[in-house]
Amino acid sequence: MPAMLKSLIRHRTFLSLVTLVVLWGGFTAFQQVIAPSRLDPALRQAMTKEETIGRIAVDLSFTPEDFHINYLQQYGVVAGVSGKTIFLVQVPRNEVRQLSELYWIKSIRLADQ
Amino acid sequence: MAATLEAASAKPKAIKLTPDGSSLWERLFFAVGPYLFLILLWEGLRRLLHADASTMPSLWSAVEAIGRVAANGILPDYIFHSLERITVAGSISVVIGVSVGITIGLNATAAALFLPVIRYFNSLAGIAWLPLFLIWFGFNDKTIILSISYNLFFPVVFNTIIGIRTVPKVFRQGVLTLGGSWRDVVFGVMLPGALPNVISGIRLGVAYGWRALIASEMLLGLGGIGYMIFKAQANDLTDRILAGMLLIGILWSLMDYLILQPLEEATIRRWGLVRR
Amino acid sequence: MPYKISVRGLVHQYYNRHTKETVLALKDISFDVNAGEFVTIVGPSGCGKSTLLSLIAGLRKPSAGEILVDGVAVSGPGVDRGMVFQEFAILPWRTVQQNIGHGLEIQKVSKEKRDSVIARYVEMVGLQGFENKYPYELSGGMKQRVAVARTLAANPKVVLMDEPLAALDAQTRVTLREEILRISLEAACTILFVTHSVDEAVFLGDRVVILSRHPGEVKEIVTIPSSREERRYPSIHENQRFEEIKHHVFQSIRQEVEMADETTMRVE
Repeated sequence: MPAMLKSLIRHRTFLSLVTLVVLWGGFTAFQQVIAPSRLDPALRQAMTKEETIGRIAVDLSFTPEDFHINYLQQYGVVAGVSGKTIFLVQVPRNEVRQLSELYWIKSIRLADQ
Repeated sequence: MAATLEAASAKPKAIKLTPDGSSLWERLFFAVGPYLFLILLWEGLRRLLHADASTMPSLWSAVEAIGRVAANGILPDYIFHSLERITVAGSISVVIGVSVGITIGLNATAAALFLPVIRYFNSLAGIAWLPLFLIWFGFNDKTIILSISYNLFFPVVFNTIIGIRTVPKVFRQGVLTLGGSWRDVVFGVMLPGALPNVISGIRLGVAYGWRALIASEMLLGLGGIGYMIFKAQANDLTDRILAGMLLIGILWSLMDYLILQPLEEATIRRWGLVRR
Repeated sequence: MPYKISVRGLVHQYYNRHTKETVLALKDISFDVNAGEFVTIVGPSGCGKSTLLSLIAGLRKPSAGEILVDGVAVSGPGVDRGMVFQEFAILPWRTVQQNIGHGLEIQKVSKEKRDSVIARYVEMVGLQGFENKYPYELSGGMKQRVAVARTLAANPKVVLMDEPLAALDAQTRVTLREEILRISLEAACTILFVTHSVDEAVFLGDRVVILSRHPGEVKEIVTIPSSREERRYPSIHENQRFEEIKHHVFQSIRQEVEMADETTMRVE
């Protein structure tokens, strides 16, 4: 039995899956750590006071495609797209936090009403 | 007489399916060579036809496109969706397909009743069902999963039947003369005996299902790698189409190499169908 | 004392779907086997000797007549009649010891009991050190040793052997004949052994049943005068009596073959 276990651990399937899980887990953990740095200080301030943020601007480092607009739709109402920025309205603050953990979002800031 | 005896005892020469080259260079050549040829062919054609990037993008631009979709979050999300769909559909079809295959394989009445029907439906490509599935389930993940399951089902069923039917009769008789009951024969002989074929059927079925996945994702617009290339066409992102096609092949190869092939190897080796 | 096996007026006919004819394979077979006896059955190819064995095993139903084992009529396969097949029939996904213990597993014998029985038979057939090997790792001779051990471990009343050595090479065949003889004495079981080799039939049997050509009938039953303990290769060939009996059996079968106008009879 230990021989079987040993060959299982050394098997390419096991090794690859473990590598994948470790890499993805590490990447996600890293994103969680750096997430607060994506939030603008003013927004962070607002999040301590209000449950729902009225209007935020999500800055990307590329021109958004349908995928990104649809994706952000899950978090709030998309109020418009301008250049590399997507505007969302009525976003609950814990969802703003979730958004800040997405690796492809550059920064999130408060937008003018 | 002497000649036949000799022929019977002489071991058949192993046919070399893969060159077991001893040198590293030789192995490298056989691993990379065919792909290198295709890359050169593509790049050569591009230059020969003076194709521009919007009709025949360079392979390097496809690689760059992969980098872009990875960086902007599309790729991990779409890969996740595609893999999730094939996994769900695979599980459904394997459970149903193996059960149906076993029933038909063991029972002549069930075979006579269902086999013609199954053969008939096998001829209807899964994609032919898509309009009807769309009416029944709408633009929904269910439609995609059903159409993958449909394609995956048939190779699993047919291979399970073959597996059950090709279990040598003496295996059954042997267990019967050991005092085995019908249950001992089914669970101790027929099912384990059919396993290598069942696994081959699953491997083939997942390959069919993977194609159905790409096709139905293209039509449904619910994300996934298939949708990525379809959408790229609408947006004139030819490099992304090429990138998607490369990824479809790469993902399949990885699934096959890491999950399906090891399963098949494990059963076939242990069942003694290949000699090391 | 009642017979271990009694075959009474056995007839077997079957319908051939291709030629659309009813074929008479065995016609009125009767013979008896005593407890502890080793009876071999020979006959020209196609005489139905393997059919006879599978009828006794209960794997097929006779058209007429009956088979009694310890006075009880056979109605289907059962643990009292173990069988060793020409094609080995051991399961490729079971190790040597799992194969040998299969019959005991079916009988729901406890693990400890099973292991001790397996160990005994592994030793009897000389497979020590191969307990955890899979069949594909074994030679033909070893596979057949596993099959013999598997059959004996289930503790049958009689052991039926259907040309068990036919698929092996000549050298292994001779070795295994001696082994089977030794095992038959050690396990003290009743054996019915079908073969197409006259040498094998005469070497192994206490009595040799000669079947006629198709449709099979009992042509003659020859009693071998020497006891099984005395027989060894190659000294057996120096035994004048043995050679005479062999010649007699051979002639008897050849008559059948010539009458059937066949020339495929194989004699070593």
